[in-house]
Amino acid sequence: MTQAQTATANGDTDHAGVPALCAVRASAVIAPGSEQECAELIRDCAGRGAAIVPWGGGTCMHVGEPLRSAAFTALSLSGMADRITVQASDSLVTCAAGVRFAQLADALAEEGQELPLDPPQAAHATVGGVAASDAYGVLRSAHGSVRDVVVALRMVIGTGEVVAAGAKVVKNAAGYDTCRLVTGSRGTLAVITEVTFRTRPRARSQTHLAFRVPDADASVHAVRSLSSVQADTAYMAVVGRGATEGPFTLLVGVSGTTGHVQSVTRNVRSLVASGNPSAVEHDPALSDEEAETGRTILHGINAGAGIRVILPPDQAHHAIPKLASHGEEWVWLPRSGIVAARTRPGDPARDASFVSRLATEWPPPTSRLWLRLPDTHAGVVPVFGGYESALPLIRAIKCAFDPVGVLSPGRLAGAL
Amino acid sequence: MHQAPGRPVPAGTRPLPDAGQVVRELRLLLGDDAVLTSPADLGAYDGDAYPVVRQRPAAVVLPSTTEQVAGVVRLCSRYRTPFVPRGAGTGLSGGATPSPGSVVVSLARMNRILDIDIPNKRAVVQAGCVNQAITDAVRAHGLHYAPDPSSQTVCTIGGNIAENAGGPHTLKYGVTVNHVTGLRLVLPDGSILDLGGKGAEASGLDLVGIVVGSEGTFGIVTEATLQLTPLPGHVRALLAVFDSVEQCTACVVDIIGHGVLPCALEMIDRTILLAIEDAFRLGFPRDAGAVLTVEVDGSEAGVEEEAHTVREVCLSHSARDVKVAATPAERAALWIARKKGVGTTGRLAKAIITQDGAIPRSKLPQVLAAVSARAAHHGIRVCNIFHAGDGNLHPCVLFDQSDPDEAARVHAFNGDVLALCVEAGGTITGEHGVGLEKRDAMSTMFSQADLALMGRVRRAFDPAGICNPGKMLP
Repeated sequence: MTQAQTATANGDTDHAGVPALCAVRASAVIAPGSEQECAELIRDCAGRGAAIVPWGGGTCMHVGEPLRSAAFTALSLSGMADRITVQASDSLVTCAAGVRFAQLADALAEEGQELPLDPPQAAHATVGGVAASDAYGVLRSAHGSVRDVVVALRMVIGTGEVVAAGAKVVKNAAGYDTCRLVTGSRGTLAVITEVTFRTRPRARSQTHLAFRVPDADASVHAVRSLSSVQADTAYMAVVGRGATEGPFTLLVGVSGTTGHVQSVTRNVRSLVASGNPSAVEHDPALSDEEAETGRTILHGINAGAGIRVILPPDQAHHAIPKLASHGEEWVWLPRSGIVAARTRPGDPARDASFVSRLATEWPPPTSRLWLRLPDTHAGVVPVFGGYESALPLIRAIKCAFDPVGVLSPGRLAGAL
Repeated sequence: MHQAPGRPVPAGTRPLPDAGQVVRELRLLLGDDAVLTSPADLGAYDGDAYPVVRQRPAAVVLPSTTEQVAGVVRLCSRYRTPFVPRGAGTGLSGGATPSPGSVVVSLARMNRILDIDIPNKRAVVQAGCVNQAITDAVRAHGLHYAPDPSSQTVCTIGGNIAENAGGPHTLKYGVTVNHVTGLRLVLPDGSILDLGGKGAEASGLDLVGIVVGSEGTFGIVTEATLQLTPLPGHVRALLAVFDSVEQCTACVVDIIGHGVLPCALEMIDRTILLAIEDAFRLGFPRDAGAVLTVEVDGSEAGVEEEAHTVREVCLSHSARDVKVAATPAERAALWIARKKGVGTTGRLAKAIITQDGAIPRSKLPQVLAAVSARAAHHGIRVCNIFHAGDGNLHPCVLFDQSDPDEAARVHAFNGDVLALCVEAGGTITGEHGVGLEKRDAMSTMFSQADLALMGRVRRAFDPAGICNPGKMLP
């Protein structure tokens, strides 16, 4: 077990690069070299009632209720980053939690496989962190979230026990699906040490299209004009700034066989052109850039304040004018009904205004998530929306995994 | 190993309550016509499609609303009476088999589609709604409900949710959990909890996801919000004929290795093929060793390319014939064969148990060979019809339940098959659930710590241990 030199690339860190959450600086950064070392550390912390926060690439650590502890130990995954096992014939890959996602994607590509996941900041994000924060990107539209491709996990729960969940097969119905529960639990139930994903054959061909449209309404119109080919696309997303300012970019990805990609690409271009004369196609470089912008907005990265709202798919676009009325950046995944928006950092008054303006929008049971709250609202505005009636159950589940409450205490819905 | 034939359903640790008092109060709550207690009626609810264990409940209730379900559960909670949720009773692992002294809560009267929301591609249905009814209701709008278990013409959404049911098309479209966005759940204390909704996901813990597949042990799902999927624009179904099972399974691995992810990839062996031919006269070759049904869907250009690749790969594995279904009727015939195939084995034996282990796809040839060897060792008849693309085996064991010696050999064989799947790195169940049948085999797959955590999660939902007790966890 070693003290990590640096634990974050782009997370919440202080000026010296030490992990910090809600102005609480980590009292120690420890990088276990194995699952057993990880278990020993957690048993030790559980015995002392000391808070411990799992820390991967640090890209999504800002999401969650405030830490309910005056001190914490950051458990870096960097010491468990040595193993990727690709089983191409079985459509499976297993890797240690500290592996960077981009490294995993490269290993899969070498074996002719891919994951239908595109987390933000893939060069920094770790596999364990991507699973813990359900860090999906624009591919969410067609392929689901991280929960939909994780088939097995190894983890250390709050008692310090090593637990396995799921099975290394593409289909499994044995036992409770604790994989789905832990994926997206943001380090509050367990420290993920190993993840097995279901992969798919790498697409033979792919195209990424970007169309500039003049305003948000035009983007809605453009998306609707593509309804007949939506199911044939790999993703569809709109990235915009403000309700009227722009620019607004419709992103469409197509992947599959060569013939499929050619045919669907042709249809997409034709439908956009015929229904949206003002739309202008840009080069693929813009697509890459805007898609990454969309991914970071989905997770409140580079934000002063950020929110994600999950609505019935055909209603989601109505949220855009509310979210972006003061020039905020936003991303809309039409097929999933997901809209997210952020303010840019550096203007605390604007962040506070953004939160105050939206705090009472989308009340329960609508699912909404504050991705980043300014200090004025942290701990006051509930981060997780739509869970109020389930809080007693969530409390019981938290206790099942972490009876002493040492894993990221306070950061779960209801400040659990 | 797994549940032995004739072994009783565990009653739990508590003494059984006064069933008479419970029944009297159930009648007051629901009315006489919704409470069944005659021996003949109870006999119809003494198990599901897992034929080995039978147990009559104390009563069967047929509520019509979520509030009535909640009332029943509150009553059971007050009297510490175990209750067992039940859909159509098509489950294959004994998940709906009553425990002694239990009240079976049948969702049969809660079978309505409550809302079809085409713009949002959602359907809100009661738990007793039949799977096929949903697709029938939305097909005209170019949509369908994708999970398609073989029993889809009779099985219910509530049962599908309990078992996280799959089906042939889950290779591409996923299993039940991938298509449920909201649930109304009556918790074991009788409170009603709404989880999720028409949005694609929740913002925190995936409570919908953990309830799906919980085998009716977390409460009773009374309503579900389901995602509807566009019907594919183009479909090609192919039938590849092989002389041997080995050729067929090797081909399965290679099809996906060539970059094709079919929406279905199903294998049928000779024994079942002959039974299908005897039953339906579909014109399949009676001398084939095995056939592979492959379906690809998507855009027209993509489908043509993928069908061509599949054909070439099959021929490279010595398929003696590869036919493309030229008409909807020919495609329908292929699916009749696949979906009715298990049923036709009823012509071959008095009783059938369908196993359900899943393994890494590349292990198919060796595990199937080992299954055949174990069947020969135990002197029992086994045939295979299964989701080859998922590695989800369904060895169908043909036997005479009234023959204790054969039943014992079947029991031993089933244990061997589960062990083979676990040894191959797989699971004891791909889609049928653990239930009673495979409960004792859970410890071959999971450690004590794994199982203890599952037990604590279960108690988070059901601290009193009255909701479908004795199922899933050893």
